[in-house]
Amino acid sequence: VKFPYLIDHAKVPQPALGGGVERPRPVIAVRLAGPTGSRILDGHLDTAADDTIFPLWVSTLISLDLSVAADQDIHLAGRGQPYRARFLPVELHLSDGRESCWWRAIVGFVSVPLRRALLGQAGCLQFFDSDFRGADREVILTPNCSFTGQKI
Amino acid sequence: MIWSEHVANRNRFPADELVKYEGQHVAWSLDGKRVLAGDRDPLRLAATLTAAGYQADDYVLSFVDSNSYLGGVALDGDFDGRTDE
Repeated sequence: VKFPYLIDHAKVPQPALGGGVERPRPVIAVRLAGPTGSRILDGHLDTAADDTIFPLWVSTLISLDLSVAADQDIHLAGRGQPYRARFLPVELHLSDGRESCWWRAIVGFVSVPLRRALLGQAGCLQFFDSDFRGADREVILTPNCSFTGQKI
Repeated sequence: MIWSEHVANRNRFPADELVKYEGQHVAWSLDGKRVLAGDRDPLRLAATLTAAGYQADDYVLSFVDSNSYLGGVALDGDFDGRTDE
């Protein structure tokens, strides 16, 4: 499944970009399904994230029952204090318009205001061999032997 | 939705138009050509879209932010440690 990078724009020229403002990022659309429907939102493929994490408000939109969630403190990079994450099984769906993958995973929901979902190792990247192609500004996700979902 | 088309159109969206939504949650049309609505409150944004007749599958939820980050954890605005709960 192939996804072109999303290009965000910095407000001011960036020294690390030689004065450029384009910030290409491996952000893809992920569909998160719960008891009463699903939502499509941006998800940032993040090889540095141990878990797959969504903002808590998404759980409200798909009516997840947080009373049965497994709670665990997690640490966000650069933040000293831990934050409580609530883990629940959901269905995730990725598609580039030609190929689709969906699978069940246990993902976390945090009440801190994440701007994008984090698609980390547990729940997402563990199921794919990921090829981040910097020059082409695209990422190719290939389901690996641990992928237990469906691919069409 | 064909993600490559969606992204190509989003990447072409004028930055000076998008900056109007800085710091807001937004809903992109599936073709990535339009911002359907924006709001600092994502639940209020969803309610606005529902009231306007959109179904959940009619848009992609996103967030507009022009800051730079190390690592994928990026918090919405000037996060002061408080949570939504």
